[in-house]
Order: sequence, then structure tokens, then C-alpha cells
Amino acid sequence: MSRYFLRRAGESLIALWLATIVVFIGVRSLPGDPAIAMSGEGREPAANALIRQRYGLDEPLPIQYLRWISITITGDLGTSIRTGQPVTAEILSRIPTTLELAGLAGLFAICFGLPLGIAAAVRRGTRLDYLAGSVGLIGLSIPTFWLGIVLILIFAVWLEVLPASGYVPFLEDPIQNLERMILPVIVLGSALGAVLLRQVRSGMIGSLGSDYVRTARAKGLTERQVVVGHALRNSLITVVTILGLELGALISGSVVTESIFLIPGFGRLIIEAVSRRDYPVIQGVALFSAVAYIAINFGVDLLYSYLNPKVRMGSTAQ
Amino acid sequence: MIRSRFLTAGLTVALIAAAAAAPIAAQEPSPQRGGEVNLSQFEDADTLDPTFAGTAGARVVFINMCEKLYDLDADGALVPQLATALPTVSEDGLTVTIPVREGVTFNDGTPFDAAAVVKSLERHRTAEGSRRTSELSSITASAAPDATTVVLTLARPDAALTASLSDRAGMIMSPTQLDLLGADFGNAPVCVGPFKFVDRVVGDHTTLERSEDYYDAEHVYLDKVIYRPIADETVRTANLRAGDLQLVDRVATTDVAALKDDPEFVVVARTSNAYTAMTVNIANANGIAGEPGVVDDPLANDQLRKAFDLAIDRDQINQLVYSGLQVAGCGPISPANPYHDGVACPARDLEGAKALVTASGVATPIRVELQVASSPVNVRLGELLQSQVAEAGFELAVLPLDNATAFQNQNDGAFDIMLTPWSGRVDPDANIYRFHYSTGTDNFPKAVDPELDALLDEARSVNDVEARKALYAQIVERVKERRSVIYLQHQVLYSAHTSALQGFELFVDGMPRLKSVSLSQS
Repeated sequence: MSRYFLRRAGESLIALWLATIVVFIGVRSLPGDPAIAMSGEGREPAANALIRQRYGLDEPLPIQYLRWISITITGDLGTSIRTGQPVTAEILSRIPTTLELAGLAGLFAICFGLPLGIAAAVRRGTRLDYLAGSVGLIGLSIPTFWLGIVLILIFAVWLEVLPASGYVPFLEDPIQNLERMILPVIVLGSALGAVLLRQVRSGMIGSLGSDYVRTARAKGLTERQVVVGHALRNSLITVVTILGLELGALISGSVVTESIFLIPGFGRLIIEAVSRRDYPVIQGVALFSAVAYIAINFGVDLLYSYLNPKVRMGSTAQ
Repeated sequence: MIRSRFLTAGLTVALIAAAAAAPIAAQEPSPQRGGEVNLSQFEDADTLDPTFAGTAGARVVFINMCEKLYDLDADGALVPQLATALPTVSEDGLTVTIPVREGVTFNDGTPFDAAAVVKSLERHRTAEGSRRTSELSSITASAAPDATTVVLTLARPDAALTASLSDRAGMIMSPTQLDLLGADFGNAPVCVGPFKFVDRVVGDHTTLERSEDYYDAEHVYLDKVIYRPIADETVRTANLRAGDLQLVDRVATTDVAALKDDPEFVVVARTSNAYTAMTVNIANANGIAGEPGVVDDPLANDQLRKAFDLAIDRDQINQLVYSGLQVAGCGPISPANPYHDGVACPARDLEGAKALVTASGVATPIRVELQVASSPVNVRLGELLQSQVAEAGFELAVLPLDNATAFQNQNDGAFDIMLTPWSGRVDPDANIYRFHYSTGTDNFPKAVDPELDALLDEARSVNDVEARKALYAQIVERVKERRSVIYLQHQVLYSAHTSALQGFELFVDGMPRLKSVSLSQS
């Protein structure tokens, strides 16, 4: 196990370093000068020149990269060109909000996709199966922005049972916080829920038709024991893998949801930074996302190896 | 006897009628104190430091927090605000004297006086990285000979100076807070204003609360004002309908009709100084800072540029793109501005356009690319222009871009024509000089006209209004003829608020002033 852990940790660090290069080059490849983008209508050549000098934007790219990486490894992601605020502080102030949104959306997706997927697999070919399939297709097809606006229209404008937007920190007012999270969680989690539904269904169908399940039934286990204890456990491997990939996507893909519901999270931070070419913020957020992806997938690999001992043994077996 | 009875009865009836009328007259609602207003900002502020702020989002906050030497009335005329009268200008135009209020304090209790004004003006003028430098470029020195007088010494006469002092360049900051925070003033700004800064979460909200230090506090009714930056106009309207906002600063023209029909909301409109135009690359071969050169743009040809302009149907654009809710425009000065020449835009002249294309000898179709900042409205506009100019022999490709790329291309001269909005300023100099002067900071076409330059220099140094109007009439005629910028429409601004909001008036600059606004509690 420890050799597997060390190997995966090493690979993760290399991936992280490569990510810094990709992030840096990607950001610098964006057309548009940050100083000009920042000035908007009020072009002041002297002020723009000062911005370039202050943020080292007039230096050669390798120097800019080394300067950035040398402060980044200390945890300092630089200063926002637009607001003058530390990027690390801006990200840290917003990440709990996005983590909460992504976490709740993931939970919603599991609560929505898992039971429906199981039911669809167990009742394969019935109306329930077709209904679940339709729900899954709709969840995958509906554009996030449209879904968000429609839900606001129905629940906030017409029925007036939920607020349209905004965010209240959980520690400030848990009830308000959860109330304002309902619609964004549905919007963000519905696509993932649809994916999980389909994956669980197909995984379960495969498991339910396998020899070991036939054996379990022959041994007299109840259907519940067969489904949950045997078929589902094996299907969860796929589910965990998908969740691992998609949770990272939930964090970085919350842009549209946060913009619709005015949630001051990670997604809104990146979209504003990109439109303004705020390099330190874009780099900081992109790097943070890369770290999150790599860390989550590292965790998934460890969990995977726990669920399927063959993975560990295969890595250590000669 | 009978006569006296009639008289008595008549008097009695009159008295009863007067008594009945009195309560009705007395029921005129007076503004109620209290409540908070959530309003949208179409873009977030960059910084809340008037010296360094460059966004309209910051102006929207400043208007309620940071008074200026001068302000505008609803129609755009300059009126004193922290000053007590319009400035007195010496005969040679080089000395400007501004009387300022006394008995006023900043929102941290610091006394407001002429010395505080000088401190702010000098900071705006000279601070490293200041975005106010060009607005105050005519000033060489400022002084406070006494507590209520500011004297500005100019290098040249500057007729646009008062207008500059009605925006961020005229905002006066607390000297105590400047000494305390310096370059970090924007984190906790303190000015003279009906509301004072409370807190800000970048990208989420900015909160102001009523200031009891304000000199006219008895006419400030709201307890709190909370700004919420919302870039998407659909989301803004949805939040207004849901009750999460009480005021939307900019309503899409597509939402105006529905909101007007809803008795819960009030839509207000005002023709502004803003415009939408197309900037043509005439000679920008080496970037904005470089010398003019030869460009590969068919519209660099005067005849073809004129043909392109003549092929445009501005009324059709207004109807189909803006639901008939904007004003067709063909010059840099809005009809809302007193310097407008009063000349209506000519109708489309397709035959004239075709004749010019033929006379140019250039083979059709003439391929031109229009770059637009990506938005549904701009793309619709581009597509309509495509169909209009196609009839004259132009093949117009529309290229949507994000703002940063568009700005860069404009700067570098990497464009044929670019859709360029401008938020508009009160003084015509600010709407024309930077775009049309040969070495103007925003002369992206790199068009050169020494005669136009001379007219622009003269117009900004003449203080007599009638003389300026005559000069700007000549300038506008020259600008229209040159067509380095082809104007399409002047913007009518639409705001919407709940019917509970009382006393709100939309000004020509589009900034939502909430000083005397109240919320009906019923």
C-alpha cells in the first residue's frame, strides 16, 4: 500500500508542476493586455504603463514564470491587478462558498441519481425504467442557464417560496443559507445526477446478470441483500470514479450557476478575472483548480484501491 | 329673512366643502424614513478610490457616497454641489476661482474646507497611476487662499474643466482618511455624501448607510443602500421581479415593455450622452502609439467609407435591434446635449451608396470585417448591418470577441471596423477630442486632420457657450464628413424600480441618485 501511495504521490507532484506550466502559458496566450482591459473606457497611457511595470508584465515570459512560481510555492498567489487584493485571500474567501455549493450539488446528484439508477436497473424494461431514462436525458440536455432562470421564475417570482439569488454564510444564518442554496444546488447537480443515474443503471444491470449474483440468489439471500450488498458495491467503483472526476468539474464549473444566483464563489471570480485579463487571479484560480483535481483524483485512487484490493495487489505484485 | 337663510346655508355648504377638501390636500404623502434598497450594478467597481477608479461600476457607487465640486441636474446642466457657485474664470482663462461650502463635514467628522479640496485635486492630478491626470491636465497648481475659496492656475484655458470636476476628478476625499490609508483609501473610502461606506465584498456587494454627518441629512430617507453587481441583464430583471432588487440600473430594451405593463414596477427613461458607433481603421497600421500608415482595409478609402455609411438604415436598426427604444444618431453629440446641432440624421441612400461603390472602381463584393464585443444585441446589430450593406456591394463578416480582445485589437490596429460604445460625457470635448484629435488617446482610426485639430483646440479653450456651440457645429460637420467614426445611435437609458420606491429620477448620466429617494412602507 505504501509503495502504491508513494508512486501516486510522485505522479501527482509531476502533474502539478506540468499544470503550472500549462496554466501560465495558457493565461499568457490569451489575447488582450491586462492594463488595457483594466482601463476600460478611461485610457490613461501613464497609468497603464505603471500597471505593466508594477506587475512585471513588460518582462520576458520565462522571468515572469519564475517570479510567479517562486512566490506560489510559498502559498502567495500574488495580487489582483484589478482590485489590488491578495489573490490567496480572494480565493480562500470564496472557496468555502463554492465547496458548499459543489458539495451539496454532489449530494443532491447522489440522492437523485443513485436510487433512480438502482430502481431503473432492478425494474429494467418497466415504466419506471423508461421514466428514469427520460429524467436522465432531460437532466443532461437542459442548459444550466435556462434551467436556472426558469426555476427562479417559478419558485421566486410566481410562487414566491424561495429567494431568487444571493448568499448568506452558513455560520451567519444556517436557514437562510440553505434556503438560498436550494435552487443553485438543483441547477448544478442535475446534470451530474443524470450521469450518475445512467452509470448506476448500466453498472447494476451488468452486475445483476453476473455469476456471483446468481450464486448469491441461489444461496437464498434476499433481493435487498443481493442488490445492495453485492451488485451495488461493485457498481460503486464506476460511481466513485465518476464522482471523483465530476466533483472537480463541479468546483470549476460552477461559473454559470454562481452567475445566475449571484453567489460570490470561485466560478464568478474566474469569469470576472478572465474578462479583465487579471493574470494573477486567473493563474491562482486555475492552479487551485488543478490542485483540487489532482488531490481529489489522488483520493479517488486510494479509495479505489480500498474498494478493489486487486488494484493494490496488482501494483505490488511482481 | 329668506335671503339671510340662503346666505347662511350657502356659507355652511362652503365651510363643509372646505373642511372636506382640507384632509385631501393634507394627504399628500411625505417621504418616509427607513428601509434599504438593493440595486444592481451592471458591472462591479474596480476600486472605490476616485483617483484610481476607471469603471462605470465605481461611478454608480460614488454618486451616493462621494460628492463632487459640481454635479448635473437631471437634464445634464452643471450645478454646484460642494462648490457654492459655478467657477469664475479670469479674462485670460488661466485662473479659475471656485467658492466652496462651509459648515460641512466629511463622513468621518473631518471638517470640509478649501484645503481639503486642494489636497484631493492635487492627488487626482499627480498621484502615480492616477486615472484623472488627463481630465485635469490643464491645471498647473491649486491653492486655498482661505477656507472657502479654491484657486486653480491653468496652463491653458479649459472650457471643459467644470464638466471634469462634475465627475471623479471633482470628488473630494477626507484628508484624514487619505493620511491614514494613502493608496489603500479605496478599501474604506470617506467623502462628503448622503451615504457612507460600510463594507464591500468584491464581486458580491457594496453596502452604504445613511450618514448623519451629511449637511443635508434631513432629506436623506433610506437607511441603507446595497449594490449588487449583476452583469447579465436577464438575471437583473429576474431579481427585480422576485423582489430581491428594488432598482435595476440598466434594463434591456427587450424587457422594457413587459415591465411597463406590470403595475408593480416603474420604468424610467432618459436620453443620455452615450452612443454606439463603428470605428473605422483608416491608417492604424502601427498601433495607437505609432505613426499612421497604410492599412489593408477597404473602408480606408473615403468613397467606400461614405458608401458604407449611406447604406445604413439607422431607423431600421432602432426598430429591429432596439425595439424602437433608442435614438438614431449620426454624430458624436447626443440630442440630449445642449451642444447638439439639431440636424436630423439623413435617411438611408442606397442608390447613392451604390453609385459611390461603382465610382470607386473596386470590385464587389467588398469584404470587410466588423468586430463586436460579444453580446446578443451586438451580434443582432452586426447581422442587420450585414444585410443592409450587402445591398450596396459590401460583404460584411461579423466577428464577436470578448472585451479584452476587442480593446487590444483596437489598440493594435488589428481591425477593419469595430463596434465601439461610449458611455458619454456632459461636455462635448470629452466626447470628441480623444477620438478625433490627430494624437488623441482614442484616435484608433489614426485619422489626421490639422484643421479639425485646430477647431478642437479652440473649442476647448473658449468659455463663451454660444461661441463654443458654433465651433462644435463646425467640428461635428467635419467629423460626419470624415467618417472615421460612423455613429449609429444615441442611447436611451432605461431603469426600473418597484412602485414602492418614491422620488427616483433618472439623470442624463445614468447614475442612480438615491439622496432624496424613499421607500413607501405601505
